[in-house]
Amino acid sequence: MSTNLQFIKEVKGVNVSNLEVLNCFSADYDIYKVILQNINGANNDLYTRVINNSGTEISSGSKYHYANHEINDSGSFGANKNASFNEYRGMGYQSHSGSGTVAYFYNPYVSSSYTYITSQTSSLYSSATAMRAGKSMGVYKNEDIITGFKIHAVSNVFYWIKVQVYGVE
Amino acid sequence: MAGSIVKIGTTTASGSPSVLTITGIDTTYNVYLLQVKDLVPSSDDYIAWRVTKSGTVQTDSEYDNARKDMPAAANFQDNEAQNASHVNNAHIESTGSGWFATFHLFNFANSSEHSFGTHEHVAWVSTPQAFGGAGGFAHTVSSASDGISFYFTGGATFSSGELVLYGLKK
Repeated sequence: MSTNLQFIKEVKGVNVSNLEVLNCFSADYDIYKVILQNINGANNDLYTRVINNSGTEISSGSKYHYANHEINDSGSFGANKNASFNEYRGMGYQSHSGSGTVAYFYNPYVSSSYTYITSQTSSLYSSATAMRAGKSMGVYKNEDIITGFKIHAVSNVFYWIKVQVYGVE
Repeated sequence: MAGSIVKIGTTTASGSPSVLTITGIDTTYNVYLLQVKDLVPSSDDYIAWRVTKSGTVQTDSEYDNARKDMPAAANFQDNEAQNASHVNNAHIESTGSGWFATFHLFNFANSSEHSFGTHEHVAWVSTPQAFGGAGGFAHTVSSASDGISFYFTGGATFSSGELVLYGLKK
């Protein structure tokens, strides 16, 4: 019996400020499951931008819309959102004690559709004494062909970062 | 290579249907995964869903749900309903790219338990803005359910839409 969750690629980086995940989206699938893990020198947000089929990282035009419900085990919950930005925040956090995220990308390669993202994340903060989780959604509001994405640290570098991409058949 | 997520079936909107239904849930698997994409109404309208039993949409007032909804340009919302006739969600813009969601469905095939599920969703809504969130729902009737049926509460039809049902192997 064949599986309907197809491994596409894995990309890793060590001591990098960003990680490109190129050519992971194609006409083969409409929905993708993305697993992101990282350890960083600082606790902070991280941000994501999509890459189009010309290999261009979309960093202008205020096309990213997102909302992120931040869930802290010590401290109040947060509501972070932006309706016109040049990056998507919420698909995971950077964390010096470890962070894991599961995200879904919908319709990235469909030229007549915006690209949609949902994600859920958990990270350990303050030398593993506090936890920061989040539930996030975003829309890249432009109809073009997206073939990949790039994850950036807001501060410091990723001591270690790994992304795995699967197609949902 | 053997896999643990097994596709059961697909329903694609064709001919502007007023409902979009997928069935195929039975005792083969304990948990089912439903991927929803491209649900676009013929005119701006609220998307909603109900369960099916033996293929028949359940129109009773036995639906409970609670969810955290997150607009990108407004305050976040705590939304809930009890004893409703459906599970309500976002007001979808007809000229946008639609409503997308991932569901996990539990106990649907269990004839002595309620059917319930989780969902995370994202859409471009009529405000207009990006809108998403997560929540849970239940149909509080102790009998087996075999599917999910979507419709627009204001009477819009589906300009597009696709439902894909998977079983998670035991």
